[in-house]
Amino acid sequence: MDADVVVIGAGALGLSAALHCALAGRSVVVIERHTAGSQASGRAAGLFKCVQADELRTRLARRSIALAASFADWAGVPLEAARSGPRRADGGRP
Amino acid sequence: MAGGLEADPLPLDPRRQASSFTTDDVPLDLGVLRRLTAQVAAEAPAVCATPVAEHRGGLFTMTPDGRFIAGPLPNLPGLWVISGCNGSGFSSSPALGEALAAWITTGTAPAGMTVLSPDRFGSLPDDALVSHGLWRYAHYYDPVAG
Repeated sequence: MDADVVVIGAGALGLSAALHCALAGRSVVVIERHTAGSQASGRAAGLFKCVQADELRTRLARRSIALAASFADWAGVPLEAARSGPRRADGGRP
Repeated sequence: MAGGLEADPLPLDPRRQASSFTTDDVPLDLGVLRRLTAQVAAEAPAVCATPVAEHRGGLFTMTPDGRFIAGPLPNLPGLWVISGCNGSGFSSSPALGEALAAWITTGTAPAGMTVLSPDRFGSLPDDALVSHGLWRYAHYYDPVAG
């Protein structure tokens, strides 16, 4: 089997990289030992934060929120996401 | 939903597990969550009083500096890594995957991404990687410089 890009692991990171490579016009094969999202990704809390510990991670986090919120528009597949407005127990902003 | 990071996490090396190992094999200790929720009992009593509908835990991939790993491996042309989630991999995966894919398909690192290079740690021995990872996990909510 020939492909421009072979991704090992169909977790959130692998599938995201695979999707964006495919959208860039590359042929992509994803290899997964179990099933997609069945390991650590499927156990994530699923919470997106606007602020992370440094500038780069905060930029990636905010870009991720924008990509997730507009997923259907650019990926063509519906994605359920809710802006639930959590509160921190210590009174700080989430 | 209640969750948290215990001070004495269990390190797991997949290389030392059976080939049939999955995340389902990670032992879960409800006592960890009981102790954590007890700390916020005054502010959120329902967290302690509500029955448990689902108890789940995953595997964190910690790095010595708490940052993601993303980029090409210098000695293996064509092999790229995207990992080192440090507990926020899922929520950053849309943008991280986008950035790595741009790096792969254009050959140019997106702005700021080279600091995530997989070769930045040099040749740390396995036990140092584990001890650094455990420390990062236990100090997850400490501020990180830079």
